[in-house]
Amino acid sequence: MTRQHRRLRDFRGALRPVGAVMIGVGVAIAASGAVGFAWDLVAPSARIPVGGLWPCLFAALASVVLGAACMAASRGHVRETMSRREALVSVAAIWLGAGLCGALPFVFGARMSLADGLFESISGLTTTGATVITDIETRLSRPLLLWRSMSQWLGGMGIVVLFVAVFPSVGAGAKHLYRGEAPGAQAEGFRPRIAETSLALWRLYALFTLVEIALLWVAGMDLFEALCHGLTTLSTGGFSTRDASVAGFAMPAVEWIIATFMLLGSINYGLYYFALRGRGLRSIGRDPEFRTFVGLVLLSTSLLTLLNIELHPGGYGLDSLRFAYFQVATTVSSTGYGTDDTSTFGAAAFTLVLALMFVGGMSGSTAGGIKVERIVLMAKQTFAQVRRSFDPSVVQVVRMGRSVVAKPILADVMSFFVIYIACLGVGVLFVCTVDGVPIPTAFGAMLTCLSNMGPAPFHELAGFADNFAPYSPVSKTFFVVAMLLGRLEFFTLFALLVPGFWRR
Amino acid sequence: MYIVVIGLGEVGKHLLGVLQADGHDVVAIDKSPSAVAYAEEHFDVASLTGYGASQEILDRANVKSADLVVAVSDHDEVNLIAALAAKQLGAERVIARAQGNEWARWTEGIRYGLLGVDVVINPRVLVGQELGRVARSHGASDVIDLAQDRVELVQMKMTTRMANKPLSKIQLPEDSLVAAYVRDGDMVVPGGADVLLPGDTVYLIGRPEAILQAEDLFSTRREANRVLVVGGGVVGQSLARQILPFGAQVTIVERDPEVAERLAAEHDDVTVVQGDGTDGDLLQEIEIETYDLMAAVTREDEINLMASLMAKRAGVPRTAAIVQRADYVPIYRQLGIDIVLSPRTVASDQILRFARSGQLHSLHVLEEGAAEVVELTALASCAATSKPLRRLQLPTGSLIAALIRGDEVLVPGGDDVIEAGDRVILMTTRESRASVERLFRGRRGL
Repeated sequence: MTRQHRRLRDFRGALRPVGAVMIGVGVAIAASGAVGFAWDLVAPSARIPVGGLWPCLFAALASVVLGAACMAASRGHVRETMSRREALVSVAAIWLGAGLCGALPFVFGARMSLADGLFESISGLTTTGATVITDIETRLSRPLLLWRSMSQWLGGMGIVVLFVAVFPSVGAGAKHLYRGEAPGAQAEGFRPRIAETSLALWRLYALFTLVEIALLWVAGMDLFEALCHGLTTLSTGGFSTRDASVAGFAMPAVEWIIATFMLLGSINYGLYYFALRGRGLRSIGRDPEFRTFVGLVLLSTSLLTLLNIELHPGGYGLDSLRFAYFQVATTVSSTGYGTDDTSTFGAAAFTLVLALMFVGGMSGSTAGGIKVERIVLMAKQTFAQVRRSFDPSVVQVVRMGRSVVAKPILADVMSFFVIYIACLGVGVLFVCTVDGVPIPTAFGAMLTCLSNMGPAPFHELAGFADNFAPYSPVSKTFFVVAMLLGRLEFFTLFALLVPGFWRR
Repeated sequence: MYIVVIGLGEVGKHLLGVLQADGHDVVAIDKSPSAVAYAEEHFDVASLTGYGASQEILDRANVKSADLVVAVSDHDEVNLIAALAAKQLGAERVIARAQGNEWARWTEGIRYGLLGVDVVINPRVLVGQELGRVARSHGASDVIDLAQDRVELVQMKMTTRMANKPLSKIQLPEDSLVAAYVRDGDMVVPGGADVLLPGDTVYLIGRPEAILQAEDLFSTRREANRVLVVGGGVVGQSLARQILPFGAQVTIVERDPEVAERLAAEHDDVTVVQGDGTDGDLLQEIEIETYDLMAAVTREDEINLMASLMAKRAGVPRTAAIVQRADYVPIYRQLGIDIVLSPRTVASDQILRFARSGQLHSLHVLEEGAAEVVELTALASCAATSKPLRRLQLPTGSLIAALIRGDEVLVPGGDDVIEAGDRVILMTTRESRASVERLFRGRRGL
């Protein structure tokens, strides 16, 4: 063997956005702390524990210091335009860094271990909504509750997208960053410049959030809890301020509102943008993915209503309809709020919910899962492949609506599915081996993490409640990776595992 | 601004880079998927694959709300039709490039309002004209016309003449000045104490007559009387037309027998030689060493490079070449070719001025974008008017080179005052461009 000098690429320039985001997260933590503290002063609550300002401020300080250190390390290494490689490193590091900073308030304020804090923080940022906290109502004060919800709101539309919107830079670098995070098979901007796309996305997102908070308040929810739920609904996150989730309020109007906004959050934001920009609401209805999505929601809601009609003996099945609507919305949007106990469902109803967990929402939305677009493309591509077996000379073209889908995108979708299933399989085996839980339990936990769902089906088989507290720290860390993989849609993180990526 | 660029060739790609850096919203269209993929990968722009003149593509690019549509594909007719269609669909301003022989006479380099297209440019004709001006100069390597021939900017290579002397000791003719020099790739707007060294590139600006005298201080060359042109295309013919009226003898070498035949028929005052401009025997036969200037202006960069190197070797005092790939310009210079011009630079200069504010009359990018010369009208409401130049606090690296007031051309000193309505010619480096623009920007609203 020749003695070859293998040099690594210099990625220090990629740390600059990481530092900026960490500082931003620090500011958000401090703001949550201050608002929560002020709220306690102005309108004390008998239900929610007091305190939590200092942990938030310490965490914020630590985040700002860490972020500044990253910025300092990048000084002199930042190139004019960011390369694709640098962007991928940046996106991965941004999520890890933000997750770490976001964990600090829980570690300082709720006496949680670092693994627990990281799980809670990443679960928030990735809008999974799975929790390790068994006693939210007695353990978390307002500052912490607010930060927990805020983390989902920031992660919902994407922290990298937010970064691109706030610090518009010149060149293709911002575009590479954006693509590292944006969900969906054909992630494209709908404005020529990516910074403007990002800004438009965040504006819409903030607008929807404000509307929902107002509606929830009008419907009779406490303003603080309306704020927390508003932040976690549009982001399809699913953190609640109650141990029993949305069921804890027992308010049908609130359930209708939240279910509807969860669905709104799982629709491609590009469609809203174009509708508002003069194409009209009808243009949304013409989108093929949207039609499939609406069909799916209608079909599963009616099916679930009928299947569970005996479970909820309300007047004329109206209760059953509401529960089914909420269940479908929370599942396809991968939010994970609960009003219903899925373990009491019949086999058919439960299978339906499980299937919806795989599908998820639309591409370009805040929802997780495989995404409706990919499912449709896979079905069409498979059909084309089957047809090829008896009609080999017919030229087959896969279309989405009227536009033809390019071959590389189809290959991308297929490999996405393969990676998804492979990760699921490997994860189940890993968790079973480490923690000795039954296979369905491990499967439910992995599926919920990869799909950024939240609640874990089959947990009762292991004697667990519907949270992740009983797992070992090793498994929890593993789930953190799974949630990140699901949120960043695999390719961004897996690219970093290829040795050639780091070499010059 | 919302700008649609149709055609991602040399000019198209270059425009994308500059326009995105200036913060415009750009949509790029090309029919080749690989060209579109390149644009997607390297620039923060939206893109569409398809035929640029089709209504469907233009609709999808939303040209009806475009401020500027630029059609620079390789096909003249596609460009004109695309520009027309875009105009019809409601685009604010449309520019098309038409560079074929068929369009050369019609477009005369640049035409406004031809066939309903706001601007039609023929960069090949423009380059030919620029080469013609260089041929008429006394040793300049580039000559840029400003303010309708009333001001000239020339680029010269420093030899040992006038070197090692402070600028204040060099007696330049009235109405001319050293606008800038380039040393080791850095552009400097000089003060009186600066010293020019051999090897520097110097920019002189002023009235054309004064500039001609100024050139004589730096160079011993005179205008070229015997000019050999390799390549009888649009550039060659345009060059010939530019210098023939001044009594120059022009010989055109053209490879294609039919084209050569037609050239001979059309121009009886030009000697047309049919043959290969890189053929040593042919060059010897036509006694290449007797020419003052050789210009290689075929469409192929390799031929132009080889032909000018051979001419240089044969002892032609000045050689010129055009190059399609503008990135090659520094390499050509390094190889010793005196005059290197690129149709791409000319085309993008013409187009970019429309992407800036409306008061801009012309724009010339120098030294690969390190500096630029702009010609603009000073508005009454801008900060630059009605105070002496010395109190204007121009940023370093910028210079007010000339003022045109009515028919009068003024190379200003520190006591002169810019009046509203003056045409101002100013030179600025890339770094200080933004702060200079601020001085001349009119106040918004009332």
